[in-house]
Amino acid sequence: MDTLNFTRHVVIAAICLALNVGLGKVSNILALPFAMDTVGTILAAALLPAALTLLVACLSSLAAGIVIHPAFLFYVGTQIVIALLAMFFVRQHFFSGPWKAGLAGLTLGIASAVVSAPVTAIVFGGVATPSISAVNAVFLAAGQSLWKSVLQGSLIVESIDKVVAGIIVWLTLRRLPQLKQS
Amino acid sequence: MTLGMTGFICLSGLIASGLADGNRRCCAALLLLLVLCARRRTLRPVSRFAYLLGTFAIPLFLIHGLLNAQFDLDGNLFGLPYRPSGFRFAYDLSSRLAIFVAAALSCLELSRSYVVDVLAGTRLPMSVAIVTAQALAVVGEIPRAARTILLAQRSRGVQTGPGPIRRLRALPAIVLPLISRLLSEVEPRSLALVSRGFGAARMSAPPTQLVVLHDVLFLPVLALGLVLIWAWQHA
Repeated sequence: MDTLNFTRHVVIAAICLALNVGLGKVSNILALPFAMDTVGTILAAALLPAALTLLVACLSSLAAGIVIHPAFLFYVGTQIVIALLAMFFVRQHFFSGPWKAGLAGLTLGIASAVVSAPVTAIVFGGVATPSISAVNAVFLAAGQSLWKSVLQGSLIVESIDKVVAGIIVWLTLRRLPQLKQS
Repeated sequence: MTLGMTGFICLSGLIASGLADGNRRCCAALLLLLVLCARRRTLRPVSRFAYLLGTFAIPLFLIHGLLNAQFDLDGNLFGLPYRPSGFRFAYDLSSRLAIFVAAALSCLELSRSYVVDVLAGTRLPMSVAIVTAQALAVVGEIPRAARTILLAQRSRGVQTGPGPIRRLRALPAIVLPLISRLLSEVEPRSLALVSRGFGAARMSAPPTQLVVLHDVLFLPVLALGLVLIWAWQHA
């Protein structure tokens, strides 16, 4: 790979990393309960080689730990699992249509919930993003155990979040040829 | 902040998190915070600490002290029924998080340029430092760009509220132009990096001051404090 191409990949990786950290703020501006902290990782899986995608996943937790909250450092495993799954889905052409992208997002959401639930339950006592915490609180008040509540709450919120992320990535990839021309 | 100091504070945090009860853990966290304030000669870390801890501690007390049905509802606080065992659980967890947040503040509340300098000074590939540096530069632009796009879309008649459905429908109208805008910067940024020699040869790291005298002077204070807390625990 020539120098300019490699540099392009590095800059795309940086932009994907910035999207992971910054899109949550866009969600806040619109008062939507989404974290959207994996759009960059999924986009990186579609645009970059595997090594740079994993780098984006790992550095996302570090950068979010610096910019937003140090608690993000604990979720590095979730980012890596999402990166690996996203690479698989990209290779299987899951981001070629809205339904497939939504399905890929749903699967990513389930995997993300399963991986992040132990961290949320053990380290943070069921408190995570406001939307997940609110759903967890409802389940806990209904008499469910902490683990069950966290898993169910994460499954609900993460699934919606990742489906939205999957569709955004599909829409972005669909527009990419136009971007390249401009 | 030196790398040695950062490592020491992290280690102290880990040691302190093994302390037996919440009171001692809170003392250890306060000690870390005091050292941090003294080093920076400002009280700003206190407000940041309160914000970062509050985002977890307040929901923890609300959820486990009032709502979590796993704990018995046999307490009474100004006429309001609450769950004392849930409050204890929330306090215990919050004290652990207090140490983590204090240690993380010591390590992470640094200038972005310093983070880049440290990354470049390590033996990691230069691309790691460049990815982080570029990302930290771009992150600051995102909310500003999103607000500009939001106003532009509103002026074009895109409805961005009221109600969650309309806001959700407006999400692609904000996010897609934002991503397009960021991706359109790839070419000029790449050319700028290549023109500065990125990827051409082995780049030398910028000089980073890794040892600061007053950091070294604060080490014994921190160590003494932790020893005193340890002694209190084992008294």
